[in-house]
Amino acid sequence: MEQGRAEGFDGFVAARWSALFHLARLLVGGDRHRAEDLLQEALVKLWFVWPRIAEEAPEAYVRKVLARAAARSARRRWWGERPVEQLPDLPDTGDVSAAVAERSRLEAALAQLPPRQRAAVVLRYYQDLPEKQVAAVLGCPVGTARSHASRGVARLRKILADVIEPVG
Amino acid sequence: MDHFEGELARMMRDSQEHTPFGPQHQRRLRSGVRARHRARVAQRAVGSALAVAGLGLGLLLLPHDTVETRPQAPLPRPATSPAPSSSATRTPDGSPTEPSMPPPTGTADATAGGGGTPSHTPTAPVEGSGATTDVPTTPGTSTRVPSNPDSSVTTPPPTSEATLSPPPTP
Repeated sequence: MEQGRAEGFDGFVAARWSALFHLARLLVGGDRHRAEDLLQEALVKLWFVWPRIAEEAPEAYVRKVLARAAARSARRRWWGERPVEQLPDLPDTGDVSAAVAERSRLEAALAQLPPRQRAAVVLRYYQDLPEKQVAAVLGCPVGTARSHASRGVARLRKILADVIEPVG
Repeated sequence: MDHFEGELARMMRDSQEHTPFGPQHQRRLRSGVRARHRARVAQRAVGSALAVAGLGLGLLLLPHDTVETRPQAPLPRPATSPAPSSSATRTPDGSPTEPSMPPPTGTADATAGGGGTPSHTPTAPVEGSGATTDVPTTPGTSTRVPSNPDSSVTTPPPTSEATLSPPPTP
């Protein structure tokens, strides 16, 4: 039975690792090492509840653990994140691809958001969750989740104004 | 969803790069699971020990609570003694106590001037002596009440009673 549990768990992790790692990276604002720690922590928690939720929605469970842990750890400021007026130094776009440059710019912009706003924006626009589910994942009322998402988007709109040109 | 929000969603999706789940990730995950398992076992052991300790402490303190809830006062005695013997009016430790019924008037020790304590008024329960008072009810039953029920323990001569405690004078 333990063998079957381990096989199922390993299969899920191997299949979803890349997507979950990208979600964790967006939730922490681009810090690769912090994202890996966060994902490992969430998967360890998943292992102990795996027999109960293996047949239901393990990815939703990991998503919830990731989002809440990212908000908590950001409040503790493990990596000393500070909002700045100017974007930090970006890599030269001459020797890297445009996709990497765009990702770096996006992560730098996300890093300037407060953690709960960042989590709400990522869940709303990357995970494409409705506001009700965003609120459920973050453990807050729907109005609060909507407020976090709209404020986060408004701030990103200013930060990324030179990247995403307004239409019209 | 406006243009900016659409572009933001696209940037988030397009920025995903493929990251395989390597053996180093697997090893780290296994070690994390083992560490958390050990922590949970230790936490459970500590919890069980605390529960047992609390239960033992509670059982230790339980008898004291029952002792404190026992009645401290002696049980009420009947108004009339069922037998002419004075054993019903004595406490288990042998100390004399006053009966709950009012003492009959005219007894030898009712107005003893030597003090209120019964030890100063030793009276004899000898029937037929002057120390007893006959209640005017059915004779031969418990109607004969000794004036001082403690007299079987201390049995001074009944003759001395008259000198120690004269009958009350109206």
